[in-house]
Amino acid sequence: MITRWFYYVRLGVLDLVRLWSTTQHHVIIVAGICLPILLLLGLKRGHVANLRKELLTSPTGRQVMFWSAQKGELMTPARIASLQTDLPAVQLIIPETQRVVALRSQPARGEARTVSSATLYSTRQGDPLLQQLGATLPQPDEKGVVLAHPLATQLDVKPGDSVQVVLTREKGEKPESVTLDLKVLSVIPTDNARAMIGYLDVNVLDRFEQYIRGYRVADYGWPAAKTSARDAYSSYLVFCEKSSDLTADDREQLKERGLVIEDRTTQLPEALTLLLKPDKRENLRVYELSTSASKTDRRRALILSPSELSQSTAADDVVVPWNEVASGEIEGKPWLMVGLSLPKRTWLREYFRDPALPCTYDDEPMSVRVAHPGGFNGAETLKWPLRQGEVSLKVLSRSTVPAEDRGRAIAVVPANVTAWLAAHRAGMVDFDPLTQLFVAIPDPPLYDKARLYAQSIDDIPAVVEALNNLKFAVMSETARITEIHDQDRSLQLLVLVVGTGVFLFGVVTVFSVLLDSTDRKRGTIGILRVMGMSRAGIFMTIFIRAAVIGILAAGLSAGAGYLLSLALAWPPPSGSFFASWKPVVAVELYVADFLIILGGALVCCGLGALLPAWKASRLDPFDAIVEGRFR
Amino acid sequence: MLGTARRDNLQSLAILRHGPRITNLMNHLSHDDPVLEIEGLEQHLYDPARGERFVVHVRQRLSIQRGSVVALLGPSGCGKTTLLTILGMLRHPSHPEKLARFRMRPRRTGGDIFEYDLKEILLQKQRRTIEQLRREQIGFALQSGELLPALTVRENIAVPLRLNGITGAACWQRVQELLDAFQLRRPTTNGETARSGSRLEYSRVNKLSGGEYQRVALARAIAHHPTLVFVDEPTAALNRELAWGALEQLRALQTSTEAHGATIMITHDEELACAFADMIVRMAPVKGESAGEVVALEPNQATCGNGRVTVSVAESPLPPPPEPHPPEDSLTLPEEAPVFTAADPATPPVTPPTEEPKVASEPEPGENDLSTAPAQENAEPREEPSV
Repeated sequence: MITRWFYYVRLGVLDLVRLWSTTQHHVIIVAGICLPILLLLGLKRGHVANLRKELLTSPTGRQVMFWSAQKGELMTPARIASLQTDLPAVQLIIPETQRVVALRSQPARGEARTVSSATLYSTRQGDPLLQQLGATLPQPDEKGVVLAHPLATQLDVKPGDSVQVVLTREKGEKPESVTLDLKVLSVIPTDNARAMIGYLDVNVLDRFEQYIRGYRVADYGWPAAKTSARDAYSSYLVFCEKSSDLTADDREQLKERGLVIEDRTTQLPEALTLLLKPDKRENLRVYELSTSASKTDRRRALILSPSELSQSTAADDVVVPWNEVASGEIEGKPWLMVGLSLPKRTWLREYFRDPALPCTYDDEPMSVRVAHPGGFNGAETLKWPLRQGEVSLKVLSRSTVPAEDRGRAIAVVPANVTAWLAAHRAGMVDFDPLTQLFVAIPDPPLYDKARLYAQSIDDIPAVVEALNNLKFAVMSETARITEIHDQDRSLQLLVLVVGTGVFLFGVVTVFSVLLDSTDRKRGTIGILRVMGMSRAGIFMTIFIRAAVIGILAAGLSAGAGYLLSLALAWPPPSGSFFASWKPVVAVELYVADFLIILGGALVCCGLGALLPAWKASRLDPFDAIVEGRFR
Repeated sequence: MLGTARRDNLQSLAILRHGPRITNLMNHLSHDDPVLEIEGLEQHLYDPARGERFVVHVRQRLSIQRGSVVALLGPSGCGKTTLLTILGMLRHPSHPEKLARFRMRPRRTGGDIFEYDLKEILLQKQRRTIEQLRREQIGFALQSGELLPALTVRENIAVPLRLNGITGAACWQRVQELLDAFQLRRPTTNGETARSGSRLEYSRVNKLSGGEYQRVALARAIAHHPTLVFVDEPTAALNRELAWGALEQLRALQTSTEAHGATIMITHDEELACAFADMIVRMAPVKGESAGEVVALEPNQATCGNGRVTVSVAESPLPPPPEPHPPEDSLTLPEEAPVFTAADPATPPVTPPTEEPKVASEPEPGENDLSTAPAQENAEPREEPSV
């Protein structure tokens, strides 16, 4: 049985090979059907690829600029990182910042060069814009710069040389400047011959910004501007004499301002108890003004004007900003630090044992008045320990400590010193040893604009939509990409419609050709049937014949299609008279296209062979022989 | 030679497949040893183009004896070819249920005889059994040869063997025998056989002359040792000498004691029939009806007198035939109905007459007539069929 079936296959193959003229005829017909489909696929791909080429080769094709505008959020580095993972198909997001600086160079030969105004833009490792230009990009935090060619020419530097950045800020009375040496990593070409621009790692540029804004840049040893951090207080103490106590209106008015009034007359802070005259204390009324959170949460400490508070009340009161008394050890001895600032002339000073001990609002910020049991004979400065380092307080006056104290010394400092120390303890301010000031810690950089690179231009529409949903203003090549997508879809439809039409007609043609061929082979089929070949054998022989024709036709189409694609893409020599008419048409053929054609040819021949093979297998053997003689 | 083991296997398979319809007659060999019997055939034909109806009758029992050559004679259009297609299982009878008898009795190599009840097989529409019978038990040499154009001479002869699963040395040895027997090796001018590339046996059939073509067809018909060989108009495309030589060879091979076969031949050539047939079956139109029927079955002696035509041919292209079979009484007397039986196959060697025999009538194209092929003797090499 199996031997017989193998023989059927052999008969089919011999028929194909020995009667090659017929086979060739059929192969050419089927190839004539497959070739246009293959070329259509190639032309469509080629055309779309041409449209996309510019966008694909230029990173601007997949670049999206987005910014906060009026509704979008300002972005921190953490937010940038989260956007990079949350948005669909994003390769990289680079915050868009820039800083105008002065650049100096010292070429090996010649005089120093200076460019007083160059703009440095942010970049980041993997920046496609610079990568496209072949630039070596700075590593994160690397002090390296990519210079535009005109700027590099102006500075007379090349990759590997150094340039010095000069940053200038005007936060104090006079401008301050710092410098930083940067290594030139690459020099990139620009369209603008006078472009004084460069690219710097975004983290380095953030530090430039930090400095310009007056913050300290510890990494680079750049000091903060001579501006202390803001002082805030956990509460305010209101001192009144019995005869001029707070009125009901005063209390009401203070409550309306959200302040809680607590009577501390009998529960004075210990340090105050030590400093006040015991005999006169009974004549005093002391209230503490605070809010529900100001005493527990440093971030919600109060910043109010004591004089304004005082004037708002009818009572003849003195309002004193107050923070918790700090304690510490200096040279092995316990110390208390009280922040106490009073107006220079006030009735309240008479209630202190030493009226000169409380500081005035005119005292230097980093000063101290010392109350020491044995008299303070130390240096001119008192060094108060911090978590890291110490702060030097200039000693303004010395006093003896009251007898009630148990050997503790008291450092009376301006109220804002205790405010800064409390904030420092809470990690909210930094102590700058260069300026000997408590300065604000910079907030994380905030970006209002960034450039984003999608993984491909096809991802741009989805990215743009997601950014729009986040209320960002967006600028991209979406319109062009959408147009390309539309054209791609149109051509796809065209290929589908034409391909389907050609394919259907192909099936009909193959069917018709094979039917005719079968008809002409009636004699052969008849004699095979007469000799006992089964119907299935006849069917299979014809079907295999069709399949082989399909494969050969696909091969012929593939070869011809490939050669045609080369011919179509061939650019005629410039100046050629005869070939000048020839356009250059891009045809892109993929392996998938050849597989489609092979599958199509097989399906086409298979479908086309079904009925002829079925009809042949059912021919009456004798009639087939008789009729075969007239074919 | 075709492997005897293979033939045994094929017949054993037949028993397995068709058990109840096959009777093992156990070495039954007597004077009455028919290989094919038919009786009560009524075949209705309709030609829609002409709107004509035609009926072929075989009312009596027609019994073809083993080892015999039967000639089917009659005017054109009387149903000879129709009868041949029915006997060769190429067509279904119009009313198989009306058949009184339709049996085939092939013999195994060991001598056992099996009986196929063809009527039953037809009634049950056992298409595969019919295909198997055609493949294994029947050979055809039709008027135009009908060789396969894609194959060479030897491949064409090997087709029935390959279809029966005979491959390799057994196949090609048998092919070689037939090539020798039918002189299908064309010598070169210096008398030696040409190299394989130019030898006749390796030629495609479109390179053959008419005589070679017909001889290949005859060789192919008997390649697989069929029980029955049907030959249609063997002389239509050949000259007398070639035709007679080829038929002589066919008879020698097909009716030998080893082959145990029978040959049924349609011809219009009375002389040919007299020369080769052991029995002549005459068919004729029925008067007043659009019908044809078997009107006579005559033993050859009755028709041609005492002897076969003994005309000598000086340049017969074929070798002398084998020894004739011993005489044997082959007539089977009817028991209930008249029975026509093939004559004794003991046939002496024959030679063609010197004059062309008178052809009863020229064949005309018709629905069941195979005599329409425009083949010419010693025709030019045929062209491949074109699309």
